[in-house]
Amino acid sequence: MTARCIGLAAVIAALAVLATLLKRSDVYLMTLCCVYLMATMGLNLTVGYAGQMSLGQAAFFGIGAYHAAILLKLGWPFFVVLPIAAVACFMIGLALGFPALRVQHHYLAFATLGFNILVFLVMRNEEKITGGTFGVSAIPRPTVLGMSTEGHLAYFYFTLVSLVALAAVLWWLLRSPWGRAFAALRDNPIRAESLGVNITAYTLLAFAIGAACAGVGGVYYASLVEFIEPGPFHFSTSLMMLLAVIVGGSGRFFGPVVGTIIIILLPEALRASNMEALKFMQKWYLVFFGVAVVILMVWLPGGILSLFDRWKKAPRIEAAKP
Amino acid sequence: MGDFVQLIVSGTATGAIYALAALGFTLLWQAAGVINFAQGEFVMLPAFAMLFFVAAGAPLWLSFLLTCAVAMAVLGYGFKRVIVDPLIRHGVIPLVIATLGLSIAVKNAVRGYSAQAYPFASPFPDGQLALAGVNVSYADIGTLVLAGAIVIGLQAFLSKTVTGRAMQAVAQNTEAAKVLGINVRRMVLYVFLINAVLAVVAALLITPTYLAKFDMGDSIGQKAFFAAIIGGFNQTRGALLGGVLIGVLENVVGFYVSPAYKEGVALVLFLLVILFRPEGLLGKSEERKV
Amino acid sequence: MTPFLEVKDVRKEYGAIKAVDGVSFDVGPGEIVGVIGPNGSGKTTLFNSILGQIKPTSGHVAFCGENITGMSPLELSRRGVGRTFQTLQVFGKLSVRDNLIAAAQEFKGTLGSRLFAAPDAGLGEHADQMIEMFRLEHVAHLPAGTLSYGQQKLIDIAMAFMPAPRLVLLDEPCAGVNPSLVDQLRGLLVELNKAQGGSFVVIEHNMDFIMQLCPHVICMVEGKVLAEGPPETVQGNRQVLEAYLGN
Repeated sequence: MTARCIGLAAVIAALAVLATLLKRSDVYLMTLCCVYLMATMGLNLTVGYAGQMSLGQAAFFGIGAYHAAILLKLGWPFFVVLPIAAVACFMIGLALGFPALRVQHHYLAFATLGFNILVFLVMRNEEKITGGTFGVSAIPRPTVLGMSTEGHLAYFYFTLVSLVALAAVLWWLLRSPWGRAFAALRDNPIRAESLGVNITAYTLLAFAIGAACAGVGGVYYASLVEFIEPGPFHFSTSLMMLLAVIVGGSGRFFGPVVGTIIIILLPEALRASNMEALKFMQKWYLVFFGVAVVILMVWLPGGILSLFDRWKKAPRIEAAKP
Repeated sequence: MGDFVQLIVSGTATGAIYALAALGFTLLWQAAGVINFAQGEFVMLPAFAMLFFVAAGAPLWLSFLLTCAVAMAVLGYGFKRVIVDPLIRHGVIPLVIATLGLSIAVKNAVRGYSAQAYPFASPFPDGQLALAGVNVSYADIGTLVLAGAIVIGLQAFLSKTVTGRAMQAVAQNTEAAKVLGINVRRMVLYVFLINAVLAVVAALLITPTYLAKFDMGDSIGQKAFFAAIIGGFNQTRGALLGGVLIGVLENVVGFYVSPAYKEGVALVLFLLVILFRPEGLLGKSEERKV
Repeated sequence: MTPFLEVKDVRKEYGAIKAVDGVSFDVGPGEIVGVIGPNGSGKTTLFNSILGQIKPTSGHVAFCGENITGMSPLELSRRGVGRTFQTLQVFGKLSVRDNLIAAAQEFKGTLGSRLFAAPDAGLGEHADQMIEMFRLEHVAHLPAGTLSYGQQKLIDIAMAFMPAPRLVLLDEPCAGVNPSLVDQLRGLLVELNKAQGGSFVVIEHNMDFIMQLCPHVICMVEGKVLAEGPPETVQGNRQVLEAYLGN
């Protein structure tokens, strides 16, 4: 355990140093990754650890972002806005998940899909509150411990530290008995129920906590981009987030890290590249991306991190069939 | 009044097209446990394929048949062998992601080739027919007849032939079907082939209006999905009802309320259904298994 | 005296099919009762009707005097009623040890308190004892889904006993298990019965197993109780023999 902690600390320190050497736009991308990671780690809890389905994570991301945009511009302190956004998303998550539990599993998927589309339309049409397609601009960045985070480097460090804190909380949550209950819910809900696991309660919790994480990510996103409009919170972003979780390795703690880096950095890298060879990619990169996703799923349905299972030397006795 | 009837008729015709796509979508889910996120692209590709054959000199009816053959091979058999079979035992989610990747790849591949919207010749003659004081376009009549024939034919096949009943058995209870000696793999293949053909027919009927474009699959894929849920995901008849309902209400709302709200109809219906009748209008209430 | 488990005239009908056709029996505290019968006689359906997986068409089930007819598995687990299933039902991705802890952790404290409890919910020692008893030490930290059928069967059964239930219904615990393991299982059940004092109702096809384990046996045929009593009596019953040897 301690070896892992030291390794992680080293990686984070390396990132911090690396950031000072990179261009402003690259640091922006790294910060964007951190922000999306908050949402995808939450989604991994819901989908990977508790086995539920959510196609609306971008909606919660957006709700958090608009909370931040509006309240921060009114002068509310960042660390007051953050819990408000988290709690709001948590509550909405509970409310959304509640009717889902009377019906079949895939109902939650459809409900979150509909929710995302609806939220997107509200964001786009309610101009008085959200600014409609014109959005909300000039969102301020907070002053933390007396230091301003206006600078791109400062805001990156702030986001990175916050991400680590959120990840630590999730790690602790998953190690607690709740984490075990989530896994029981995912692996065998029928058996779990006959062993006293309250399926309803844990499903709702997993879903609501995941939503709250997305809300937190949204707050950091708003201050990062300093101007938000409904576009990034479309249903297609929810699909990308789900893709990130599954491609990275659903139910693995660092799965979202791998997946988020792929879905954010890869397209950007291809698009922004100047190399002649990669110019060709710019037109077709999404095709390669789509094909890569298909191939990856067929080859590694457990996600990229499931490669580690294949390489491990642990004894693998195939579960015998009776 | 005449207007209203005309709206109903043309709405039913459009709805029938949605229903065809929704029907395939539902069948795939019931018989194979596949939620096909690329269903819209399954309609878009045949549209371009038919254009290609027509440009190569084939008459429309021949292009249609050739495309059916190609679609059955690629979107039916190919899709099943390459993507569905390896993934199905890992659960629904990896498969959903794979179809999502497929959708992205295919859509952008076509877009890379051309982002233009191409006109598509209608299989039916232009013009209208006056029926009982109402003007109905030949296209609408033709659509209703063709879609209706296919649907009725499919229902008859499913309920009256041995193969059809075997397919229904697989959809309702795969394990029991296996025990009864039904060749489940083959039945599932038939479902994929049927879905491919339904998609080609949908393409033939809808592209004249929508025009062939790389993103035409978005709208129809979404409506097929909504139609299937609205009607009831576990009922094939639900897909029909859902599709027709969307088609008719879109027209009615578009005319009497405002064209701007037309696109929102399917979504609103979908939301209402999952809030108040989540199993779908015709669906059987499936209580969460204890 | 109120019997521990009272099953009265339970019926489960699927249209014209009478899967369970008026079954009644009692189980006393600490008793081990066996249920035998040919395939399709309704034994598992009876279990499912008692244990809330399906709702009985009619009839009455009482546990310690409380009416538990149609209660959900969750509510039943809270009252100390547990079960095992015909097919393996473990938490595949969790380790063996975690499977056992998961089986009992929901009975400790409240939902809220469990969030802040120790990672093993204070059940680590109990789980280790169970692992020792079931001789699973060498695989304790492996994911349950990667183990052999026999090992998973042991885990499956151990899980049912982790919360020290007062009543356990076991559905074919010996299915697909090799003979040496069957002996081990019988020994374990006897040991658990003594240590925890719970009552067991066991469906099984393995006659030796049932006859040696259960002082009281019920034979079900076509949804009805055909014979009941000590194993030798039931075994010697002509109708029971006929039912098994076929028409």
